[in-house]
Amino acid sequence: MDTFIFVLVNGLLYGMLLFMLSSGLTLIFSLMGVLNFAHASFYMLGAYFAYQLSSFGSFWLGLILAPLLVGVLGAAIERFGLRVVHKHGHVAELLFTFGLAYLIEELVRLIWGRQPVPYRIPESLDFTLFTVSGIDYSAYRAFMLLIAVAMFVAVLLLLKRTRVGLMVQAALSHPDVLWAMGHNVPRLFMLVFGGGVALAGLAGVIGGNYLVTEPGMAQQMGTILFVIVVFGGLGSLLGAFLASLIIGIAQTLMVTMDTTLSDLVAALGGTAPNATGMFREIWTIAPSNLAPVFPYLLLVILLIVRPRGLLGTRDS
Amino acid sequence: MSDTPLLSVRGVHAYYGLSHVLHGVDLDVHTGQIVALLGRNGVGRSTLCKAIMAIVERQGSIRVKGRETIALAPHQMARLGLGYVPEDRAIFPGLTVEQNLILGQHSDAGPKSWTIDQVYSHFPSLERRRATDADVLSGGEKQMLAMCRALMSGPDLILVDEPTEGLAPLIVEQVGELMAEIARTGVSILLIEQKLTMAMRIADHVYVMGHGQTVFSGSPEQLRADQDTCKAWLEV
Repeated sequence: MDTFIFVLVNGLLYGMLLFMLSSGLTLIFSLMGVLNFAHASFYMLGAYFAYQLSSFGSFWLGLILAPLLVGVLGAAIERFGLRVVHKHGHVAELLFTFGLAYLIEELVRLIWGRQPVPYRIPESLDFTLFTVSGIDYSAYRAFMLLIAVAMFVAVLLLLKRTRVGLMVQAALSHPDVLWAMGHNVPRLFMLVFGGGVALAGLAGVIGGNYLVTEPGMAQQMGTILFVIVVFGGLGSLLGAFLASLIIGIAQTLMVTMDTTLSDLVAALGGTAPNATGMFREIWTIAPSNLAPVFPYLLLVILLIVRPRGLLGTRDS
Repeated sequence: MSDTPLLSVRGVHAYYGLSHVLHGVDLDVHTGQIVALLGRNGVGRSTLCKAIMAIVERQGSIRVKGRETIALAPHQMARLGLGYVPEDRAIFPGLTVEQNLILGQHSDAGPKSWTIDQVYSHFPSLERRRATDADVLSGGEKQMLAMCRALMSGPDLILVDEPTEGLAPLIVEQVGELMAEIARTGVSILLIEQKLTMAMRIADHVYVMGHGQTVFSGSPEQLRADQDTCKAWLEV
């Protein structure tokens, strides 16, 4: 039971990390209609910027400055790149972000090399917070969870309790009308894009040293991110939140499960069939082997039975 | 009435992508006037509203209080004192009545801007529904909210696009009274309307549009007397 709770907490942590990325992506899509293929690249930049800043000073310097730098860079890209490309339609925007993802990846390789960089967990948080049934829970994981929850609450308060939040909510339905009411909507879009990628940068800061900071990390995270926003429903923040938690927890749970179908049949008192023939692998595959495929399987099923995703309003 | 019009539109062309919708529109609105813009569906009246607010691509000359504004963006047009009530009312769903009103006030709103309390004292029915999700209001209430939202920044002129569309006859009369009341507060109105009776009753000046151009300009009485124009451009 203790192990299960640990796995659940870890799944929650992974899910929250995914939400830090998917929230910005889905918000940018809902507001601007831009499916930002480069979103995970900003996550990678957050990790690399934090690594660089922590090598100058401390981890805490990176924690504060790296997301800010990523946000400013994102805002500049929106202002001087996306806004110009926008005139040529959504396909041009899509191609722009697609190219941007490659550009950022190559730049990262040029500057920091092809190998992972030694971005480490800060010493002050590198200890066991508590141990239950012989399992250690690190202080850094608890810190990550704290940051993720704080970010979630902050985004919620920003959207629901501030004037900027009201403007964002209004722009979701009638951006032109909001613009004609005297609000500088292009600037709002720039802020949302900058803010969204800053959140991805923050996820990179706290996730880069927990996972691995290397040039392939954006691509690795990027595909699962799109699964989440489509699964949750394009344009739905709550949908992205639910999908992040479901996929985060389910994947983490599956990784710990080694019981194969043969074991299950044997446990029920039956005899496992001879593992031969075309489908022999099915009897010996453990859920842990299927964990990486699981989100995509979920996506395919959902697209067939409910194309708009969990809470989305659009059909495509 | 001052000589310089509050809004002066000269030779305005507007486009939706490759589609050329307005072909050189001329129109003036003076301070304190209610100007009605009439015409059949599809002649470009709503597009003219959007062109004035800079929501669609436009060319020509649009002067506000004598200042050329053709190169300005929508938020800059609003900050010059124009308010916009779009055709579908465009109430922000998911926000309350009060939140919709709050957003009506932009950061450059001057001393003429309305407070929420002023709106509520003029329109008590909105106060009763201040915490309601604006999306569940009736058609008439939504229209009232959209107009009050446009008043929040204290505009000199509001552009009201088809305010009575889809409303019951009794509510149409109420909307007419609402506009007359707004005009009494000193706000000019450019009204796009299909219902001729109401528009002719409250307007000081009338324009008729056809094929993306203004084809008639005069008083409501002059239009009533001009049977050729009525037949050619207004009768269905």
